[in-house]
Amino acid sequence: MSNPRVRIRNVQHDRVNFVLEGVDIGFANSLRRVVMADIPTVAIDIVEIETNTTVLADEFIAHRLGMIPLISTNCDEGMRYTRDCTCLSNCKYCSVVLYLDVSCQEGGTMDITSDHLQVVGYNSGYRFTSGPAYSDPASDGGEELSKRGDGFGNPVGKDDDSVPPVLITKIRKGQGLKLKCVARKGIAKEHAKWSPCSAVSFEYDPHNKLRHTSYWFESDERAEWPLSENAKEEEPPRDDMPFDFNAKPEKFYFEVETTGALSPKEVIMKVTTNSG
Amino acid sequence: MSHQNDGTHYGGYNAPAHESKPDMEYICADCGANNTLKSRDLIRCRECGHRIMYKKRTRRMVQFEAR
Amino acid sequence: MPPSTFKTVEREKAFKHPSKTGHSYPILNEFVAPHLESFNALFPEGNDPGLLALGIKDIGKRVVFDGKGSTESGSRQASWGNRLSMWIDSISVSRPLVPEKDKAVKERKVFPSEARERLSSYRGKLQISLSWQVNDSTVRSTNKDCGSIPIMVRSKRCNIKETPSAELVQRHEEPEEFGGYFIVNGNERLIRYLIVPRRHHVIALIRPSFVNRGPAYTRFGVSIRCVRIDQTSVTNTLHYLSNGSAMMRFSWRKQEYVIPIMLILKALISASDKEIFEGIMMHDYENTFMMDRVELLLRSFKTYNLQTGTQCLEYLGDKFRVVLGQPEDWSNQMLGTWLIDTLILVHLPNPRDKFQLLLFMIRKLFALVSGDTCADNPDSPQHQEILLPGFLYGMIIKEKLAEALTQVRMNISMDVAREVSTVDFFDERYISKVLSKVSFDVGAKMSNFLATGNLVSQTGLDLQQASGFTIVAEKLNWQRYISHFRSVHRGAFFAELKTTTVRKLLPESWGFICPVHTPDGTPCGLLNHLSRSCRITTTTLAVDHIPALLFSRGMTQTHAAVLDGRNNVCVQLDGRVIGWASPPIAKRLATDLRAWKTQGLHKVPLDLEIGYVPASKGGQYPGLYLFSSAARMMRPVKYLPNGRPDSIGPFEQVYMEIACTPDEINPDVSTHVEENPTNFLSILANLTPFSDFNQSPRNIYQCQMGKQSMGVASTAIRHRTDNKMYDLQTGQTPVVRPVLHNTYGMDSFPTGTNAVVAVISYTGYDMEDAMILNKSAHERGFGYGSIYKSHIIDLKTERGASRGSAANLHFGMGRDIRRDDDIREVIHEDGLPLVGTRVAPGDCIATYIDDTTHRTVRHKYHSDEVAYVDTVRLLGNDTGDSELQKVHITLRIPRAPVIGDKFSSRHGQKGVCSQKWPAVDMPFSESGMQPDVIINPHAFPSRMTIGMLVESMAGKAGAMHGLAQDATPFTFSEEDTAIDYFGKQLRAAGYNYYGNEPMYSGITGEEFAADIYIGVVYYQRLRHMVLDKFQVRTTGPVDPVTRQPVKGRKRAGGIRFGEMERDALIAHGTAFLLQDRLMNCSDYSTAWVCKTCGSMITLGYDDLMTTTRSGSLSQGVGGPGGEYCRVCRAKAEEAKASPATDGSDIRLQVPSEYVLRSPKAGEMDIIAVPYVFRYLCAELASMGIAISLEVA
Repeated sequence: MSNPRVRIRNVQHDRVNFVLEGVDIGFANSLRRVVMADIPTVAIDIVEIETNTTVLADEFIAHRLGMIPLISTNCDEGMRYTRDCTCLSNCKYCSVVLYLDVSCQEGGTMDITSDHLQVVGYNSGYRFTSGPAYSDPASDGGEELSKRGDGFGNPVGKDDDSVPPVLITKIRKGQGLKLKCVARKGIAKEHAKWSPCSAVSFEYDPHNKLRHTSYWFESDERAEWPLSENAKEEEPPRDDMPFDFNAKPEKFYFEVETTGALSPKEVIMKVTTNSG
Repeated sequence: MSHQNDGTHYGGYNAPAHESKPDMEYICADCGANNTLKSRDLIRCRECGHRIMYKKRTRRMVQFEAR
Repeated sequence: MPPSTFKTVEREKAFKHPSKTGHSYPILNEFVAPHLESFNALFPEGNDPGLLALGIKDIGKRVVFDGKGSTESGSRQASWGNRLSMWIDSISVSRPLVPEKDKAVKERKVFPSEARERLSSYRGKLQISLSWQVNDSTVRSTNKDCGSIPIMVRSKRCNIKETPSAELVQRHEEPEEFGGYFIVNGNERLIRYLIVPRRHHVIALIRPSFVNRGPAYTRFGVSIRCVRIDQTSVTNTLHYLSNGSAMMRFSWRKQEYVIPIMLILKALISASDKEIFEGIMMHDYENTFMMDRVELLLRSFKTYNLQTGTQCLEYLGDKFRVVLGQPEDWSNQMLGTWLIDTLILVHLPNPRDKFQLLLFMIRKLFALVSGDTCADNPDSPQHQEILLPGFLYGMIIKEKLAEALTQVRMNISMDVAREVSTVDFFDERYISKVLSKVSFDVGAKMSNFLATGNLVSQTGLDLQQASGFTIVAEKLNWQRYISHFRSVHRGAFFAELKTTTVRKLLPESWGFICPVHTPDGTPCGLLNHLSRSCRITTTTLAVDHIPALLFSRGMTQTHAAVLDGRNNVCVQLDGRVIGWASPPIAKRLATDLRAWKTQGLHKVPLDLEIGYVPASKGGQYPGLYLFSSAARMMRPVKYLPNGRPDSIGPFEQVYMEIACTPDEINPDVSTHVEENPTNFLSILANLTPFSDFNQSPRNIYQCQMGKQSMGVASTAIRHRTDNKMYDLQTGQTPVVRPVLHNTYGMDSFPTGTNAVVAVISYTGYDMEDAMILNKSAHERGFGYGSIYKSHIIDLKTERGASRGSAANLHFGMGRDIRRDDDIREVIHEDGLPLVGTRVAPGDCIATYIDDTTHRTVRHKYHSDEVAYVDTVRLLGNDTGDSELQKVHITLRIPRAPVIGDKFSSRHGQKGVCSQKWPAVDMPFSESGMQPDVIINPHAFPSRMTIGMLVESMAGKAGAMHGLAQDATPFTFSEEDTAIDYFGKQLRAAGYNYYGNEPMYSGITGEEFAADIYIGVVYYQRLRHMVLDKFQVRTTGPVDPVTRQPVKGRKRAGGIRFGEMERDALIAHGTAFLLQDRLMNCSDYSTAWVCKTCGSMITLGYDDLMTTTRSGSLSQGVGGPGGEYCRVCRAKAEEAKASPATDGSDIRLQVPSEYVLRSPKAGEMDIIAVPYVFRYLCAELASMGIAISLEVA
């Protein structure tokens, strides 16, 4: 491979738009695939429900909890997979325990949101009815804990008024929900909830110069097929230009939108470090 | 068997044998009142006289996979 | 930002704060109106006494004599003795209430939700007042309790009759609960609409089967279904006989009788022959055909030698005395009169009216025979009406009361006949004793009728069927539920008919019966659904003034002597001849009436049906027929001359020109225009988006599949006890939906999810209607649902329950269950499962203690799926004075989609999920969109569901712009196409005009050579799931007789490998597989066979132990195990001569390779045979047939 170049066109807190050049199509696609499915994050995997007098069924709430993005900064190094951990069930190295205990006292409806989820600290000694939050620490205590970022394991947007929280369910007076969640490290190949991205857009050859595709049209191809934004980056083909059948796609336009579990920067950096 | 019509009725002739049973709490389906029933008590709300009771949800933990 | 077209916020508000005064969707109450109104008609309202009161009046008196010659010296009176007459005076039905016995209860009313949850019936007390009179003494009466009859929910006798939404929610009902059904044993059941012949209209029939009714009978007949004011009916048929006369047929207690028509004509008004002759001929003396028939008619009656009306009545009374069961002291004349009153043209109380109509019937019959008029089609809605639930219910109550009253009479007359000493009509105690012996429990009979749908009737109620009247209102989803209330059945009788003519879709049904919404398969065309705008009238209109009105406009009096039948047509109002008019005048009358009724002039009711049949050559019999009765289908249209709303019925519609849209109005011919071009579709058919783009069968399929989709069936799911209920976790409102979706409030009960659908042949896993699901979409909750199943434990019916009143089984856990027993994980001390816990197959779900054994009995959960205990209901009895004997447990089974589950779009495009494809491998568009569902392009060309393609475009545009797209059919045209409308929206969103997008392979990242059609389509998850259907078996239970695998999924049985499958294997020459299927995997067995005689059933064993000890191994050569052939040994012992080979009847050869083991010593071989063969040998042996196997 010659020299991959990444030109970042736009970065926001939850998205990055960049152009990848100097790679072949397989590499570009692998990047897309890795971004989508191979970056480890933390997500709620086990839910132990103690009280549920809401209108939603237990497994429904459990499923909704699983979908909530948790802050997973440097999850790759800051956490172990449960399967690799020496502990018996869940220890502080391979899990984050969260609890939720909400009940509605006043009239009217009340929203239970991801903001109600509280991370149980390793040292808090919090005990659930089913036992301690974390099982005994694995003997070979590593340095994982120190590598975790701020607010690791907290729901995205907690303590941030600008981010609307994720609604879990609504309750009325007299109803309540009390549960314990065990969040674990995983990748989206196993379950979509571990995906750090909500969408990855990918495009090359906006003018279809390579003729990889053939646009179907009723009367006028140009009129019926709008050009994408990325077409501005490339020279439009002239009508008299001969078709170069040896040409290869060179520029790949990406936009990665994250769930908030990881920052766009980290997502892209992880890809590069993971795939060498 | 003659039934008394008050709520504290114990039921059959050999009811005392079951007195050691812990009372269970149920919820009236109509008025939502808590009703403590012993084995062989009448199914009737002490508040409103309704004839259906719901059992309360267990306090025990139930585990689910979040997927 | 423009206001949301989805109205989500308004809807949520309405749901949080239901209306305190009414309903959010009043239309939902309208479409069940015929159910409710017909039931309400049973009870008094203002001046209307109600149908029940009219019915008991019609029952009349039952009379019995005590045979004690009384003091009076009357000649006949003396021999019969005292005359006791008994009748029902009044009737009343109460609202459902808690029995009087229960003193403690605060709320005396019983609400429907309690009946549902407690698995009891929602019923009110039926009481009658029974009066009797002996001779002419004072009338005495007593109240009689007739049990409790089920009450229709939200009817006049219901406790939530006009309850607004907010209170309904408090009562644990749906906020839009509309009622119309009964609750019997916790099930919601309704009486289905049934199609019956139109009342009060003479229908001309040609039926080959009429010939079989007797000698001289022909194919021709006219028939009329007459309805009394209490809505019970009698059908009279007039048969044409080849000898020129006509016979009137009617049935009495399911027995059919025929009477010469002349006898009735004379009996009615003592008509002279001339009167009859002129009445039929009507000055049409040139019509020699008719003249000849009338002459024959009159002549043939001469043989009876009856001249006056009185003679005729006496003759009738005499002949029918035995069967009618009327008072013995009635004269023949009285009986004759009674017979004609109660069985001939019962809708007309006046004999002269009856006479006139009979003459009309004869004229129509002769016109039919002569070919001047054609036969009417009884399968056409023109000649049909609807048997309404309430009316039928009333009829049955009336009949049951009449039966009870007759029973009283029978009991008394039996007592009299047996000369029981206590018989004393003047003794109230005797009467009450007799009354107590007769079962007046109409309530139980009505409950039984509703629970089974079977009609147990002595009279048959003039209906063609005795079962299938009621159905369960299944709440699988909302669509299915509401369509029950709009379904119309043609009748069980027609289901068995081999001819398919009754199932045909007729143009006459336009606007009344939906052409799309009928099931395919056996009930196709028989089970229909009413069109959306079709109403059914439930009251008889006030039309007493109409005849006078018509006279003033030129109609001629009935009895005008100079009427000429050639240029006058009959004017009838509800089957009564009210006059005659020449065709032009009749036409004018019809036009005038229509103008008046639409404008509300002259008090002409809007629902009056004005059927003007113009004179034609060989067409329908002309006349002006007016209908004002109940049970007719009517629908709204707009009357063009004055632009006002009109209400039309199927009889008149045939002669109308109704334009579908304002554009189609032809000023010269159109009389009406549809209010809405989609009105002819049923509610469900209307919900199919862009159905006008689809090939019609696909819309039929969607009507079926919409009813099978998982969705939010009920918002009061916690208070429901349905046997099985499906619930979709993430229902969405469709982006693309017709306007009616909002009108009917369908958003409260979504049945699917908006899915991104790509039409592409991607992996091969989408062949043959399979669809690929995006694994990530699935994991994020696409199509997740659960099943709620009811599990009822009734200790009274449990094994070991005592028959007596005192219960001997009690829920609870005894001391014999140890502290650490596993079942304590699931079950509490009270013997009931913990709410919320998981139960696995084979787990114990409840325990109870048996008083007789003092042991705890475990009640198991029999199912092969893991479930969660959702609700545990402890059910008391009606009066709240019993201990716990019955519990209802709702189990929740989570059902995420799995491979093999069925999905469908709303266009009859169903498919099975074949693969959950990882998201990274899915194709994606430039914007990063990935399809949730991939379907194969081959699904479209042959099925032509263009509607789905349009929906896809519209959905995509709607999703991009945040619009709820209107998908009402018939809104686009050739000039203004849907493609263009949505194409422009797509272009505005930056997409290709036609909805295509370039897509990339998820695996290689390369752009596809073709662009892909991708959009948003609403997908339904259907309730057919593999988990309920898959059947596998390696080894398992076998049939005890044949030792072959049993059948049936529930019993872990196998799937039949039948004759044809066997043929296929033989044809393929796959003998090894054949043997594997039919022998090794089935009933493989080994058997001993005698080498000498070939018998398989003659195995005997020498007891080696005993024989060796005694040392007398003398006879024959036993095998190593001591086995020998009993027959051969016996033969050898007996004769020691020829081997016994000749005794067998059937000889079969077994090649040596099938001999498993041939013990060197001994005369028996072991062979492998199917066990059934051994069984066959044994069976044949029992018949005296021996089978012999030649073992090589």
